[in-house]
Amino acid sequence: MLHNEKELIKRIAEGETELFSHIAEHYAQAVHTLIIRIVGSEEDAEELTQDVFLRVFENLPYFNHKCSLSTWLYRIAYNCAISFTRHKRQQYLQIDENRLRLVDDVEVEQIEAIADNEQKLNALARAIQQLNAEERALVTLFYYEERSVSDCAEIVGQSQNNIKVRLHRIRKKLYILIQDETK
Amino acid sequence: MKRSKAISKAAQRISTPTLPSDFNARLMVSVTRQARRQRRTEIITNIIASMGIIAMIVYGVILMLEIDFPKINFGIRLDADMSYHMRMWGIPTVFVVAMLVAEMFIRQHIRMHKIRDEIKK
Repeated sequence: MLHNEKELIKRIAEGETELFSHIAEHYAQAVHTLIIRIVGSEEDAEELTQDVFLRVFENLPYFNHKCSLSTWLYRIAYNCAISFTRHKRQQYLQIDENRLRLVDDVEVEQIEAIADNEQKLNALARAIQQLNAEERALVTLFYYEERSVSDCAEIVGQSQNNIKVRLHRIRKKLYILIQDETK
Repeated sequence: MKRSKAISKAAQRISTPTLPSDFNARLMVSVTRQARRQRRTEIITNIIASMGIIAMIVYGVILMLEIDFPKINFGIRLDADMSYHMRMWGIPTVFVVAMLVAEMFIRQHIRMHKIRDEIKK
């Protein structure tokens, strides 16, 4: 978090445009990471990151401090990146719903066993990249950025329970993908 | 909710390219350009709104004072009752609105000076 965020936002909104560089310097890389993991392309991600910061600048006077600046920034980045992928109609791997239902919760826990296996961790990283854009965003936010469930819910615009269900489904999907790769 | 160690580790493994070193500089150029555009739009909107308010005030004053311009037909004739109410409430209202418009102009003038200074810098 930036030192004296409120004061900084107030001054930018009042016309001290150059102070916006502090926000950009502090959050640009993190926002870029989230976007690139959602859209997958480096060029598109850079352009989208710029768009996100321009949008943030435009809407900064309306920021109501109900959540942290970083959560608000991530929400804008998430929405921009997701609408971009929808527009591009990217194709992702589909997993049969019945197969997902058949995976037991105890079975999913086995995924933890590969935490120390270099090869399987690489396979798991590849599996993450096969998830759809929204799931990849959640993995990035929850596992990479280590954001809380409530933060994820705020960013994605869903309830906390919904996020928990989706994270559980992601674990099941990753388990299936790992199983398929090792077969 | 429990965070899976394996997934966390795997997520850290996915390579993420860093932003080019000149990204912030380029972004700030766009931000400055957008700030100027935003201010220009704001100024134009304020001027149009002020002109609208002034036109309304002038029209109101003409109605209140029942000025009969020989060449302008405003098409509205007030009866005695309405004319009385207009005089009672109209003058203070016009005064308040005029003050608001004046304040808006002064604020705008100060802002314009700030922008000019920024451009000079």
